[in-house]
Parts: sequence; structure tokens; C-alpha cells
Amino acid sequence: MTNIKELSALSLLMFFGIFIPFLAPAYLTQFSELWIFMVFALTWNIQGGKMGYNTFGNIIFFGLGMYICASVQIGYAFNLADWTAAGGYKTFVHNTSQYFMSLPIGLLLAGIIPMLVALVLGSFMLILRGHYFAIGTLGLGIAAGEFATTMDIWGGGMGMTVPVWPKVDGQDLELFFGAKRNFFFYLTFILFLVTFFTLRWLYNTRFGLILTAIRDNEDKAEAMGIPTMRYKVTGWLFSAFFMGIAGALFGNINGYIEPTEVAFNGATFGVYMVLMTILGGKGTLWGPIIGAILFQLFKEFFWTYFLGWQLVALGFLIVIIVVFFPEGLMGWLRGKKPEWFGEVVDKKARLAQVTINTND
Amino acid sequence: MTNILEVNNVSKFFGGVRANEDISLSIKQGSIVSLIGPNGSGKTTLFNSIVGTHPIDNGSIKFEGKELSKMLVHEIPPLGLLRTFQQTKIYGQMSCMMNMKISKKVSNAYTRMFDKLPKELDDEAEQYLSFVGLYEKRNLRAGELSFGQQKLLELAMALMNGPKMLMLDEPTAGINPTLINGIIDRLIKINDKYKITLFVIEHNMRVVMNLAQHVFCMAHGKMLADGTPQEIKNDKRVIDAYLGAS
Repeated sequence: MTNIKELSALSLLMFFGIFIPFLAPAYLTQFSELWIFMVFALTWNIQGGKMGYNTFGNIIFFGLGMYICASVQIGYAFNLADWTAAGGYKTFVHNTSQYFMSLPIGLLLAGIIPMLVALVLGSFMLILRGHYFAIGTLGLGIAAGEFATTMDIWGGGMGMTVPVWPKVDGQDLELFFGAKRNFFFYLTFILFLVTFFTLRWLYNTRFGLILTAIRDNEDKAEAMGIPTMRYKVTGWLFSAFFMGIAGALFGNINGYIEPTEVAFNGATFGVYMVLMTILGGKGTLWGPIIGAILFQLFKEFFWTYFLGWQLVALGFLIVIIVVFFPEGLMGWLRGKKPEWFGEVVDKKARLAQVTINTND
Repeated sequence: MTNILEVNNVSKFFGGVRANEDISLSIKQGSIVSLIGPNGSGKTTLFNSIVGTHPIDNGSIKFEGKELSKMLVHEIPPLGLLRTFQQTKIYGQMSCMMNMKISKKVSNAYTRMFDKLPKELDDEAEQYLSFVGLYEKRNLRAGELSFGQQKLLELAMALMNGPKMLMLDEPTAGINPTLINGIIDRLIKINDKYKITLFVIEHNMRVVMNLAQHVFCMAHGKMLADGTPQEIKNDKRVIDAYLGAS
């Protein structure tokens, strides 16, 4: 995409990011979810789109980040075991300073610990290729959910609550022209921006090109002396970091964390991130963003007007995507307008005869 | 002249299939050596063994005195030993220029991973692309090239990496007869100008005769004969192996 197009798309997003709380306060949760969905799609695209490794395991980092952040937030002020054991019978309330001291630490750890987990998991999972990797990560995602169910400190299958928004004189604390919803809306927006610009930079470095090379022909990349394993694992670290923080924010927005329905929900979020990326066009920077917007629109529409049939409608959408836009919207656009993507289309070049002049 | 590559008593079995049995050969620095043999005689297996694609069952492989047989695939090219493939392997979705630029040998240390590609690479890439006659096609996606053109691109990518020794697996397969002359010329220039040792698997005897200074011939996983092209051409065992005499 040329810079002008990218700039206008970005300004549009910035406008929505800043003014939505004033324009559509009733839909704030949906918009927060949209930013998180964009992070889902952007990070899934590192593996699924750029690198050609279809992962169903990125949800692990999301759930893990969610639990870690909530644990840190609670553990900062209270005893975590007491909190989950109380199960709502006893109320613990964070004061303002406890809340805002614990949150940044929680967010940071929610990024870093999933990264370490990705380093360990990636070091052996990424040996697998193609379908085997997909199946392997699918299993890991389910295992993570089951594992969380056995963790009593996190409330096991009962789940746990997150700290409630602090009150000042009996009123919800006001921040950013509103309370908790506005605050987390802006945090998710910032997370989206940071993810977007990090990946935008990443894809323009040698690292980004090598990810594409791995997708196109991993054997060749190895034969040219590229330690592909190192690049694949590092790529997963990026996904894990942003997914972890996305999970931390989602947990706080949702207010309640449960192992298989909220945190490690591979059947919904785990599939959504794949769908969004494919819908928008995998392997491109803007594809996942466009895909996430379209998907969120479809999803809200289906859930509102086809309740009970929403999964059927979603299935129908998947069929349409796969049949008519196998390369996604961006891929379709690339076929129509290759010059927008910096590709030089020169008929002469395509027809040119290859000759070697033996005299020079 | 010293030997750049020494293969000693290498064996590779796939279950009961003896793909390579007790193979020994040595290649002098700066020479052009050819490896011939009927289909299925174990030539590509030997290539794969040398570059570490699969572990060998027996023997040793030394490149400039360094033992390769325990090294990983990606550890060998930085030493200066590079191979191309019989079935072309290129980065199909990327332009030819990108294919070239990414083939440049650089450090893969964590601190250097996120460097941008330097602008100077463009000139170098264009220079090698015109060397193999692909300059006009530099902006096309590599996947759009024909099989023969992809072979040329692979050769150019290998040169971009700046190897000391190149192992080419059938560089002229699928290329039209007129262009083959060009390739022979280029291979000789590569050897002469860039001082790259060449080890070439080839079926086209015209190419072998024009190119190689020394020829090894394999059959049924064993080294059958070696000598100058003329000696090999007149060797009864070689003729029998190719023509199927018992």
C-alpha cells in the first residue's frame, strides 16, 4: 500500500480510537473487544500468514496472560488463595493506589511469562511442520484449559473474579471522561497501536523477510544457512507477548475468568483469530485489521438478529470466505491492483526471453 | 593444491536400501568435478549426506579440514559450502530481487536479526541476476518463472551467498539446448572469476565433457569409477552401468 492510503486508514482508526467513548458510549465493550480482536488477528498472522505455520495454540498465551495479570492484581493487595476460596462471600476491595500499582505490574508479567512459555513450547513444537504443527498446538490449547481447571488457586473450574474498579466516596473513580469501561477501552486501543507499529516495523526488517522465506520454502532457507528454528521461535515470542497482554485486558473487561469458556477458549477465540486473518488476507499487515473489523460487524449482527442460528450463519460466512476469497480481501485486491502493493507488473518482463551472452 | 572436500567411507542406508555404500572421494580446491551415474545410483543422497540433510551411518566428511557429518543443515553454508536442488527450491511468493537479497550471507545473531536490508544489496543482486540472464525478470514473483528460469535463479542466489564451493544438482535439467551453452560458459566463469570450486551432478554428457576436469561415476550406491572425462567416457564399467549391461 502506498503511504497515503496507509496514512488515511491509520487516521481513521486513530479517530475512532480516540472519539468512540463520546460517539457511541453504549457500544464501548464491543469496541474494546474489536481492538483485542485486531491484536488476535495481527499476532496470529505472524505464524499463520507470514510464516505459514497454522497455529491453534496462540490462545494459550491469551488465557495465561489473563490469569497471570489477575493473580498479580489480587496478590498485590490480598492473599490470592483467600480471594478465590471466598468465592464472592467475602468482599475484598482494592483502593485506588493498590489498583493502579498492581495493574501495570500485572500487564507486564502477563506479557513476559507467556513469552517464556512460548520459548519453551516453541523450542519443540516448532520442529513440527504443516498439519502436524496445527494438530499439536490444538492439543496444547485444550490441555492448557484442562490444566487451568485443576488449579485450585485460580478457582479451578469455578473460575475467579478480577478486582473491582476502585471507588472514591462511594462513586466509581472517574478517569478519561468515564470509569472502568473508558479506561480499558483506551488501554486496548493503545495495545492495538503498539502491536500494529511493532509488526509494521518487524515486517520491514530482515526478520520479517525471513519469516516469508520460511513460509515459501523452509528447506531452502535452511540450505542457505538460515537457522530457521531461531526465527520461528522468536516470531512466536512476539505473538505470545501481545496475546498475553490482550488476555490481561480482556480478563479485566470481562470481570470474570473461567478456564475453558473465557481464558482458553479455543473453540471461539482460537477459531475467530484464524477466520479474521483469512477474511482480511493473511500474510499482509492490513489484512488482519480489515478482517477483524468485518468479522466483529458480522458477529454482532448475527448474534443480534439470528440468535440461536448464529453459529449456522458463521458457518455460512466461513464457506463464503473460503470459496470466494481464499486469499482474503487483501489477496483479492492484490490480484486486481498489484501496483498498490508495490509490485511491478511489466508485460515485457514476463515475455522476455532469457539469454546468456557468452561473450561478456 | 589442497583438497577442499574429503569424503571418506561414507555409508547411508534407508532400511534395507543401501543408498550410499563406502563412498570415498576428494575434491581439489578450485577444480570443477562432476558426479555422474544412472538414476537411483545415490548421487543426490551423497549430496544430502554432505550438507547434513540426514545423518550418515558411517564414515567422515571433511570440508577444509572441518568435520561436517555431525553438523546441522544451517551450520554448513556459513562455512562456504552451498548446494542447489534438483527440484528447484525458491521463495515463490517473493520477487526475484527479494529472493536474491535474502540469500546474502549475514550474521544470524539475535542482535543482527532485526537489521534492515542495506541498499547496496540491490546493485549486487542485479549484477548476479544479469550474470545468469534474469535481469529483465527481476521484479517478477519467483513463482512465476519457468522451471528452467528458477534453476538459473537458484544459481544466482547461491552466488549471492558467496560460497567457496558450490554443489549443483543437475543445473542444466529442464533448460533448452541453446541456453545450456550459456550455462556451461557461466559455470566456467564462476569457477574462474569467483574462484568457486564446483561439484556438479549432471546427466548431460556434453555438459560433463565441456565442464569437468575430473569425473566420479556412481552406480547402485557404490563408487564405480573415477578419472578424467575421456577416461570415464571409455570406461567399460561406466558404459555398462548406463546402458544396463549385466
